[in-house]
Amino acid sequence: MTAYPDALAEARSPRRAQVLNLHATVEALVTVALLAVLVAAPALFSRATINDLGQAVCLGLFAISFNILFKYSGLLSFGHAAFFGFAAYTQALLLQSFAGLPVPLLILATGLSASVLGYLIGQICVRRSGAYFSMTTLAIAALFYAVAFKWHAATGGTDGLDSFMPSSLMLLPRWHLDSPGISETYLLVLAILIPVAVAAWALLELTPFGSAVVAVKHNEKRAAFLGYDTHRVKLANFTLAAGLAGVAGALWAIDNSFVSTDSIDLSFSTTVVIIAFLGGSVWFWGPLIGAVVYIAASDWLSALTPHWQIWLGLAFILVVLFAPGGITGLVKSLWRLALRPQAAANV
Amino acid sequence: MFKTLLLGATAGIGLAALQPARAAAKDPIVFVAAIIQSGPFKVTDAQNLAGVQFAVQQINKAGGVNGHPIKLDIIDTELNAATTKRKVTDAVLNDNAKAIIGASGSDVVNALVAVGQKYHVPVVAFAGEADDMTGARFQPALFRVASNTSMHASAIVYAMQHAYPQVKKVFLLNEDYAFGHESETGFKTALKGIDPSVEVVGSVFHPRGTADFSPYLQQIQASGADFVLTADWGADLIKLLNQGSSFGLKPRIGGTFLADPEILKGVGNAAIGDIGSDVYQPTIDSAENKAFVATWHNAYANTPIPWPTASVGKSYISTELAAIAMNQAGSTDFAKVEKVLEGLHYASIAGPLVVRACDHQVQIGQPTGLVIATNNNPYPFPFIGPALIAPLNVIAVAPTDTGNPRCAAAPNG
Repeated sequence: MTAYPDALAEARSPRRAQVLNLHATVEALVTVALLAVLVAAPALFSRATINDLGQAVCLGLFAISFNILFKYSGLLSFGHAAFFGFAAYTQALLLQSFAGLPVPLLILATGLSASVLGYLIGQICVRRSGAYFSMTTLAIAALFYAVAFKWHAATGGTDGLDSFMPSSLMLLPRWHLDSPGISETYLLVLAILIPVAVAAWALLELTPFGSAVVAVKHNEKRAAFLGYDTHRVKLANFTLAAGLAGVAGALWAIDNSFVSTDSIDLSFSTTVVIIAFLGGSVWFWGPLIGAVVYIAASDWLSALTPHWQIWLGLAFILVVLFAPGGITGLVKSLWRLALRPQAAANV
Repeated sequence: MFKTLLLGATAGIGLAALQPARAAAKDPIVFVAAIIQSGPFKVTDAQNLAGVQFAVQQINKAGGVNGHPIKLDIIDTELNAATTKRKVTDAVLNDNAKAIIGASGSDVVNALVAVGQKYHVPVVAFAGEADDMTGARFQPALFRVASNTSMHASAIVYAMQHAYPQVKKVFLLNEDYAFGHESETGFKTALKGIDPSVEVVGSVFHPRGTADFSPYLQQIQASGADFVLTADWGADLIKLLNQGSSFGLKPRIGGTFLADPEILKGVGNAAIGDIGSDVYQPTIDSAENKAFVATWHNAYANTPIPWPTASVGKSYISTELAAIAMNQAGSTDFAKVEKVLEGLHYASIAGPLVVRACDHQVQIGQPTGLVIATNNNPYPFPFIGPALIAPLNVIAVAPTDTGNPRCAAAPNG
């Protein structure tokens, strides 16, 4: 019977606060280091590596957007590629029609349109949770894929869309990027991606909105008793995730210079789940690391054996079984283990 | 004089003998082969990979490209355009690849072209038949050996007219996606051009991956059609042929992708009398092809591809074309190679071909054939018989009809 007050006392102890502060500081430092490495990558790595990193960071943002639903709302979407693909096609069409407008504005417009779509679809999806939510998102994604596949006039069908990239990208009025190379395109992608992802992180980690989302995830009934409109909270997070997936899709279209049905098909919705779990869903930036590892591992394995998907699948199973927090979760656990003797010594 | 000639001849023979060794000594020139090597479509590209590898082997034996051996980078496209783009870009940047040979899937070909355009590397396509790739959406990096949808449809219609001159009513059955729709248009245009007296009595699109063709077979039977034209492929085509046979379908079938042993081995006698066509057939009656078939069979007799196939032929020609152009250009520089390729003509294993300058579409008379019983065939199942060549003047799309602005400006191609 005394366990509860003991636990409470432990939770409120200055030592625990100290440890938590240390964790937060380390996390912040690691985040800054991660983003700094990404920004400095063109100076550190070959153009081929930057080419791979370009796709990896777009996939990473997509996986982060998936994880926003999974980590903060406990919603496992099997149809997240619908927003990503919708945005990729929208971005391609916008670039085709409004090449004279600043690219960041077009990306913003694409992200907003994906948010609006998320808001509308979320009205249906977030009314259910668990398997029902997953199946609803899956069905909607299948619908979007069918549209992309069949609406040849708008999407190019199986041929996809290409030749939409203007030779000169307007960044701001009077500031153009002529025939951008790999590094320039990569930095442009990062210039949009980092602020957007940091804003989403701040919204979820530092504001009452984030606390409300987590409260609804942990105990929806209690959150409702406390006065939260739980449906609207989940819907808002769904909209945010859709918008972020939209930005990722827009950046993907720019980075690849073409869009095909691969960016909206059901297997892509599965890939993002694998990436998020591989990187680790417990840390906001984990999926970004997961994307880098996924791209590197799949390229390496596919060069070694045509049966590389078996090995990747096996790795995924091992991660789920023995390191459910993914790569970053594993590192976090090791870090805590390393800290434990030191904490004990301080007592 | 005799001594001089003898010395000259000896030197010549010596140089020729040294050529392969010299090719091996120089730095290799990298060609990228974009091939599906994993997933359910892996089988589709096994023939293409074999064709490219055989071509590289033969070219290297003959001295390589400008004395350099070709090194082949094989990348797994995973039938995914974005993955293909990433891997091929890496190959171009890391290995300085000078030619890209590929690829199954028109979106994957588009991804290759995006890389080719950006890094000035020619893309020689053995697949990807959408008309507008060399038409309205033309991009100079692409050189297409594969037929386009219109040429392919015309070749089938030409073969139908020759094998079954009594046919007056046809039924069009195609998959319900972009390629199926484009093929339907191609068949209709070809019928109008080749035999306007033939009436289209029905046209239906079915979903890809159809399990049960009986509703469509009933429609065909009810329409009174004498012949069925289809651009179905893979499992759909096998099911259509098998179920058509079980159903007792009377009209024979002309299939864009029927001339493939992977299809025909799964169908057996049900395909006898049907028509197939592609840029290459092992049954082409020419000295070049006979020599090629013999050399291939010697090398591959105990493999799953004992005889060259349509895919083998196309991927072989694609690789050969890139090498010939580089040899003639004396360089791997894109501008020089492009200049040579535009209008390049030579006697290929599939017959005399020319790369049309305005749209980079290879122009070649297309072999067609009836599926015949296994007696005189290389395979233990019915296969395409002696090739009937659909002449280029019948199947070619006029430059002004391509939708390519360069062709509109150069009506003679």
